[in-house]
Amino acid sequence: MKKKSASDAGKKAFITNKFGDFGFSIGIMMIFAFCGTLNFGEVADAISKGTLSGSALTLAGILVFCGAVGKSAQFPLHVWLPDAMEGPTPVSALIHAATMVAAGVYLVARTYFLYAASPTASAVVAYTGVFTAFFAATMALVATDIKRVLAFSTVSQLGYMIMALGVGGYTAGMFHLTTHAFFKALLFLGAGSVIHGAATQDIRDMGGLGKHMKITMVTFFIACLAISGIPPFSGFYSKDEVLLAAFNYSKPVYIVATFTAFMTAFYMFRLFFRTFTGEMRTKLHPHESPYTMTIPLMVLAALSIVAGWLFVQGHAFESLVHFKEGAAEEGNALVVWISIAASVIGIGLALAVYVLKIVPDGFFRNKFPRIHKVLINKWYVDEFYDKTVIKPSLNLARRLFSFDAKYIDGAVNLTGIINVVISKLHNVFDKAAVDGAVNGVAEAAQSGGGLLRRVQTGLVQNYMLLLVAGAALAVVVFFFVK
Amino acid sequence: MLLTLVTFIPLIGGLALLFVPKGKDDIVRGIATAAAAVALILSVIVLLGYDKSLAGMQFVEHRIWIPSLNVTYYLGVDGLSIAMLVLTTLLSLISVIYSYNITSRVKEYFFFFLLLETGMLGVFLALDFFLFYVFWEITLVPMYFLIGIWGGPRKEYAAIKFFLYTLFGSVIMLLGIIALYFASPSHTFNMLELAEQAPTFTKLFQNVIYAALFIGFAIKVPVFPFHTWLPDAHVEAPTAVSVILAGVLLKMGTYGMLRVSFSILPQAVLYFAMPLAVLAMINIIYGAYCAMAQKDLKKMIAYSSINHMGYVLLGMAAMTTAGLNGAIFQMFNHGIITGALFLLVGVIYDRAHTRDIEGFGGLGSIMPVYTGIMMVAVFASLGLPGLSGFWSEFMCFLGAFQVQNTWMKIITGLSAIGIVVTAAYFLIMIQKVFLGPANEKWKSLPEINRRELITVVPLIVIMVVLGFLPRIVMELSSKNVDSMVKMLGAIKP
Repeated sequence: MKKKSASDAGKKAFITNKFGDFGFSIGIMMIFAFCGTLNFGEVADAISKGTLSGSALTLAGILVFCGAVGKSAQFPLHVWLPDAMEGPTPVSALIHAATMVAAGVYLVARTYFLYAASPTASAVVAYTGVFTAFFAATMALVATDIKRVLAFSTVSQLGYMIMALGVGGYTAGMFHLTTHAFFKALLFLGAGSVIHGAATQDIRDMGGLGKHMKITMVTFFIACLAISGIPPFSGFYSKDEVLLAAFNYSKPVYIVATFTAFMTAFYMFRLFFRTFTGEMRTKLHPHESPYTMTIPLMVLAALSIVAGWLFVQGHAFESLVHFKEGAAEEGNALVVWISIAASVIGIGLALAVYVLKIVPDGFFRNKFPRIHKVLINKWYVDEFYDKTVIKPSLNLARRLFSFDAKYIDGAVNLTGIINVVISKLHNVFDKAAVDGAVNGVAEAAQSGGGLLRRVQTGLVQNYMLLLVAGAALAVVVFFFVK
Repeated sequence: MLLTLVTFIPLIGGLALLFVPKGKDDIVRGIATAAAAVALILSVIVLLGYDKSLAGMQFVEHRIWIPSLNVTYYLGVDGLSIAMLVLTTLLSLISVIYSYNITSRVKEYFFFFLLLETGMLGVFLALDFFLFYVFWEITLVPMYFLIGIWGGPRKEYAAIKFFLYTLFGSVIMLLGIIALYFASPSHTFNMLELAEQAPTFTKLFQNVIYAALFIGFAIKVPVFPFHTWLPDAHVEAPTAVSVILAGVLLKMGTYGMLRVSFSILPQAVLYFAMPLAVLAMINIIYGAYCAMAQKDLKKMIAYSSINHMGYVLLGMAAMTTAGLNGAIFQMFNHGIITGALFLLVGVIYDRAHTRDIEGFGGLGSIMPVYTGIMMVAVFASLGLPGLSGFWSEFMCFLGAFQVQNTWMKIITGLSAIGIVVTAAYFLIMIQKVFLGPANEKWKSLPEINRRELITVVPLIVIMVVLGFLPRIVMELSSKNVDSMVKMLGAIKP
């Protein structure tokens, strides 16, 4: 973690997830406040009995979903995942593609009873998911860092799963989660192999690597077919079920999801063609990776081929996850064919642009420079957060602290100063008035004494004179005053 | 006798070391360590003998002290105080060991330190209000000198501020205590007796007394807006004293509220529950944001204390089982975690002689062990599950959210923002101080040494163990909390 960008990414991932957890923890508290328990089974019972219902249930569902939004990188908390690609590639493969980000999807699936009982909460889940799927796919279209393309793809696919759960296809969502783990881990490890062999992450510098990295290329190709949903690869089966669930839920959701499938096929094959086919664009010295790296690729490729087909045999996956609601629905030929068509068109377009060069490379970029710029800048979401959350928070912190120092502490110090001033005034008063009075009395006594002392001459004659004068005065007073 | 021994062993040690001839600092340190260690051992004996299935007072000692005023020497321990007792003796011993690096006026330093320990223990164990007040005031004087003599550049200012501020609070508290004494039919300072006589006090009287006592306690906690002494005192105090300040002294405030206000003035507690919750929220959010603005590492931890004590207040304002248990647990956890953080800040300050967050960078590769330990403490502080801080924070929130009052739920929800901000300021700090390229200037900083490890590792172990087995501490208070919740629930507001 010596790179600033890497430690920034770590911090961003943590804090962004904290935002999700903020809602999640309140959701947990709400459930506890209503149900008095956090045991999944007991909460489900409480909901079926109506202990937690109505808008409270909806709110609790949405709040719990916040946790999933953070962990599974859904809009608007998706920002951390692409940056987290700063980590080493195997970490990306495991954590950011297959396992950790799955936790959010799993959370929604695990607490499906909240969403099954609240149409509003499940609608929030569904629309968040489908929007994220679309939104992330648009960014994947233009990304040039091989790992970032895969990161956006992950966000998009997670959106797919979340959408599936939201539309009630719990089994479909979990199924896609499982198959996705295989081919996305394969893609990441393949990318790792490419980076290892070509010593760059930028697909603009690559091209023609297939000649030098055959195993990597073939396995990567399998993964691309799987994620694009071409039968009989694993992605086909799960994506098909996801789209079917969406189709039965709402047509607009279905249409966006299908369009996303088209974009997915396009950007995956854009990545594939630019990396492995054509001419090398810069001087690289690519070489195939050692067996320690290619064997995992082959294993994952095998799984990416067969996993989907295996799991649908005798409803294997369905009985494995065993949801009471949202079981796999009956097939719909229309949905299947449209889905395959979308993928094929996507692949065909990529082929046309990057291999056959029917459409010139950079056509889109030159034709719609503004849109391209927005996409390259990830819809300016980071900038938006920087302006609306991060900077204001730091500002608020500074303001509150200067308020603290100036006013609150100022008041304390002012009290201190006032007391010091009062004590000084007291001191002055004390010296001038109180002590003055004391001293005044003393001085009066002293000066009075000084005056009187003059009388005390020590001469008997004087005393006698005073005695006579006094007696005379007494006589005068006695006779005349009376 | 056991509680008396625990309380006064430190003082006896403190007096003993005064007789050590000049220049024999090691003997002074040895005596201080021995006294603090014996106190810790005795408190652990109390803990082992403590029956957590009972709600009442245990290890009670009750003797006549000043018969004419009906003042008694009355000590006891229950679920509210047992954790505080052990926390105090543990942090005191750790701080004494950490203080081996004090080289000027060693004898006085340890004398004041041990006197302080006796004062703190007395506060947590006293059941007579008069005795409580005496111990409460005893803590002031040594703390004043510890900050004022061995502190940082602005030590005089910080020490005077601390002293006057808390003295101001305790004088008002004293008025409350005297009023309670005269209002009680039996003219008593006995806290348990006063609690029994609570129904005879009028609502108005309770509210007035509550307010008076609250100022005394709130300054100690500290509750916004009485908190500004804290950053100054914590920053200027020497490391070990900061540990005690944050780890133990702040708890005296919340402990006082629980021991006195909650048992003797239940009507007023109900009346003031909502304002207390609002203050808790301000402490949490305001403290967190102020911490975020800090450039001085120690000051950041100081403000984070305001933030974390807010959780305690929130749990208390909830008055639910989860909330009160959480509050008591959070008091303990905050002592352990923030104690460790202050120790760790001391470690880096002793080496670099700066605490400027911006000035570091890449310490992770220079001092890996230190960094690892710091990370655990930081993550415990920001409430990462698996470490002790998580449980208590979460219980405070859970308890507050349970209250059947929409405002209370809103306050709790808003307070949870504080958790996000806490994560943010700690992670920003970690990035600036520990990650990134190693700053050339600090390349030669030595790794954390043995003395420092001895002090901080036990605290880290506690964070981890309690992270997995929180009930070890939570069980201690549960019976008392049950009866307190029952008592509060029985009162009609």
